[in-house]
Amino acid sequence: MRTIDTSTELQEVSDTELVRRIAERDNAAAAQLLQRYVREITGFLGKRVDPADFDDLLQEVLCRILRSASSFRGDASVRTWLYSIARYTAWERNRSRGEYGSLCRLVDDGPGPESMILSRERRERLVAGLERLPDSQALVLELYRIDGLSHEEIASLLGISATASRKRLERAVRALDSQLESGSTTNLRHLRIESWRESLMRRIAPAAE
Amino acid sequence: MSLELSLDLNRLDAICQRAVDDFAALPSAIGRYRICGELGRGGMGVVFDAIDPVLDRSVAVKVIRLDSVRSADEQRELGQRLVREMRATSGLFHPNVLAIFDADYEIADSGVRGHYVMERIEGESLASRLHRDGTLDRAAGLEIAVAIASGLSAAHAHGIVHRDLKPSNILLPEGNDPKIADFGLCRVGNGAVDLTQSGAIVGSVHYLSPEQIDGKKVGAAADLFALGGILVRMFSGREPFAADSIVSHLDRIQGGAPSGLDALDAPLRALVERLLEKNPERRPGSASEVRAALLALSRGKSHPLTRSRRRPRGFGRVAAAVACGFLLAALGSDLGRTPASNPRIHDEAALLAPAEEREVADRLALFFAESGIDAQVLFDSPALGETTSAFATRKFQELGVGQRSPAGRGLLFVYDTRAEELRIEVGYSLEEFLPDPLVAYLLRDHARYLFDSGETRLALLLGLRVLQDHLRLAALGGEFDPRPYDALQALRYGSGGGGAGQTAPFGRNALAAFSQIGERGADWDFSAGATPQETHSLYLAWLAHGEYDTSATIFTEESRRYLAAWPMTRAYLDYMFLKESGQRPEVLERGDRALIFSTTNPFVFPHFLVKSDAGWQIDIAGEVREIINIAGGSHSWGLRSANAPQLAPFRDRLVASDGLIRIRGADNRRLRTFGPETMPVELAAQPRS
Repeated sequence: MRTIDTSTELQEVSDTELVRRIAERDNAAAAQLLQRYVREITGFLGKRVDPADFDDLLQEVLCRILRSASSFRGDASVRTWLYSIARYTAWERNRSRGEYGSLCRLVDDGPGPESMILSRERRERLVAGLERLPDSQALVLELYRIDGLSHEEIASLLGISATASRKRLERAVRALDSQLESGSTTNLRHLRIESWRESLMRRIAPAAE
Repeated sequence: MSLELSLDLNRLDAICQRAVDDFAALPSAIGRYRICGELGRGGMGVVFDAIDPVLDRSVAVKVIRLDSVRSADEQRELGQRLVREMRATSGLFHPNVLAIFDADYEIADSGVRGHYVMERIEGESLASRLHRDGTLDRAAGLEIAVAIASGLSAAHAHGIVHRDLKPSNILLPEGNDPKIADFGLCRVGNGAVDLTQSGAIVGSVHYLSPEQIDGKKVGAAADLFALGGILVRMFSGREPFAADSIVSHLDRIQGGAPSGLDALDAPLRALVERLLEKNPERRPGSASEVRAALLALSRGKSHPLTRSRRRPRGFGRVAAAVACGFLLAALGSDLGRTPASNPRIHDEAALLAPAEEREVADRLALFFAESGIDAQVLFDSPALGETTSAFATRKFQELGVGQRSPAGRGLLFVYDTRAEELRIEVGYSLEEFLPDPLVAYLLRDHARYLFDSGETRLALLLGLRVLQDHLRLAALGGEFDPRPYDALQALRYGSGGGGAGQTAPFGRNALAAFSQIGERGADWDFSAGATPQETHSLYLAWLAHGEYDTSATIFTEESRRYLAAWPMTRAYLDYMFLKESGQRPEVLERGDRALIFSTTNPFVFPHFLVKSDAGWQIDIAGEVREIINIAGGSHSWGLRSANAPQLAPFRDRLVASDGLIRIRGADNRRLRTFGPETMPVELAAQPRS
């Protein structure tokens, strides 16, 4: 098998500089950036996707990172940017397959995820709410609820302050709560096919037991 | 443990390497433009982030694959058409139109690849803004609308019509005026389709104008209609003609009242109603007039276009009854008249050959025996000035459809030979069992397609089969109980198919490894089972020319769960197409995976097979995940990803086509094109076990 060739010189280069070089189509820089973060991203994705899909999804995330490096604008840290791509890709994948398991953990940290069954309508609203959250808030929410990190850990991971992390979480939760309370599902038309899948799944569930 | 870890790291390294390889495989340059990365992928192609080294500026390069099957001359024509369209747009300098800098094309083995170079902006599209925020406030929305109207006004003055205006084509640069993108692109796409088929529709269905659906001449007024739709979307959060299926969506655009207008204040609503007039001539005269009206609105002033007027006739017509393609008709009581030759077939246009007519008549008789429904067929042209629906209603009564039925159940297939339109007129006691979007979709699109291609007999038989199947499921669920269904076990769908003398589509060899299926003679016909799972098994047994064994584990465990909830087995429809058209599927085997697909029929869905300890099994779950069904779309189905485990072994036989993956060597014809859209299927009558 091939191994990734990374010169020691590149190991010294900053993340931002690597991203800049990737946009100049420097493949060694691309390999270096991935090598730096692949384990972290693996850990992050591991909690969000079906293990059978894992390799495929990880590859897609890594491909997207490299392809969109030229659009990185430096208004967040490279790490936040990487996590946002990973989060978004996993989210898209789960949504397209009608799998929302990890969502349960986002709104309720009482009983275990299995014991909590969101009604379809409630979940559609939740999905819409999550899609409207800015990346920065959604990421904090997930890291806190799904990955179980403390605000201090999130802060050091994303390069923000712990207070900022708390604020973002608060805002995200408030936005989701109001989404769940509101009766509006008008923005959900794009979910039609998903809700079909979903209704299929619901019909299957009793038969499976 | 250390071994496991190092293996895992090797795996991660390999994945990293593949990602780097993928990145390295992006073109390094297109024309003189250096490619830095990707900005997005859409229906028509990929947009690259690029640098123009000569002028040293960032640009966006959109690459579109135009066609891959045409002759060299036609390919060149397509490329030149792209260049012409882009040249026209590039002459358009306006702050609200995304600037085009360059365009070119090349012809390679894989087809024509065109590209054009655009202004690169930082920002999002109106579509993603609306997706996130739901609606916009009045001031922000009006500002965007004014900008769109300005851009349109400039374009129309140059004789350029957008034809595919929609939120995803409106870009919102940060701190700058909104810009309309993709002018002229639709026409290139449309041209590409025109070469293969006339009257095709390209564009986002949501904002299509009625004249585009009708295939009439499209002018600047089509863009104004789209702008009306965008206004509704921005302020109400709703698509004005949204519906459950693409067919009913198109119906609503053509004949239904827009929804979401309640969210608009009176002057805005007056303007939108004018923009959404079905008749292009009744819409406002120009984009600049609309712009003036929008500006007046944003300043709280009045404008002639924002004053409400009496509603035009027919504006509020509700199309609910025809939403699924079914027309409800009151059943006539004593107007019945029975024509002489064949009591159920009224073929005034002589579309059926005598043998075909007999076959269809037999099938109609069988349908009546099985379901108690009096189904009849009429091919005729309406009276002068009479609409297809009025014609259908009148004939339903004149022919006394349903009078033979004990419960008064009647159904009339009406093919309007002048308008070339198919209607299915349904008696009052039947409609509740029928409006399943899937049924409607099949009947209206597939049957209409078959009519269009001269396959009249096949269209009728298909329609009947689908109805039979649907009613049967309703009967199983206890929702429909005509007497003939009392003895369900005795029911045989294939009984009308004339099994004797027909051979299964391919011999046992192809699926010899299907050890679960027993031997059986060549002269038996498929028949539906008591459950969808059984029906599927029987289909497979029929394909393999074998005998169905109830104890066989013919489906993967996951698939069995899907089948329990499947409304109408796909196997059944596939059987319909294969059997009725006499076509054959191919089996492709690679190691522990196999694909069954029709080489000659674009309607037949591929089946995924996987080999396990129990022998070959059908992977329905894989199908559900990997097959996209497209309602009235350019294909009847496509595959999602070549990377799926079910498909990966067949990669050499897969081919990308119109943004979908299809099987190389199969019939990948374009069918009627309404623009790619995933079909939402609602499950209707379910068997209750």
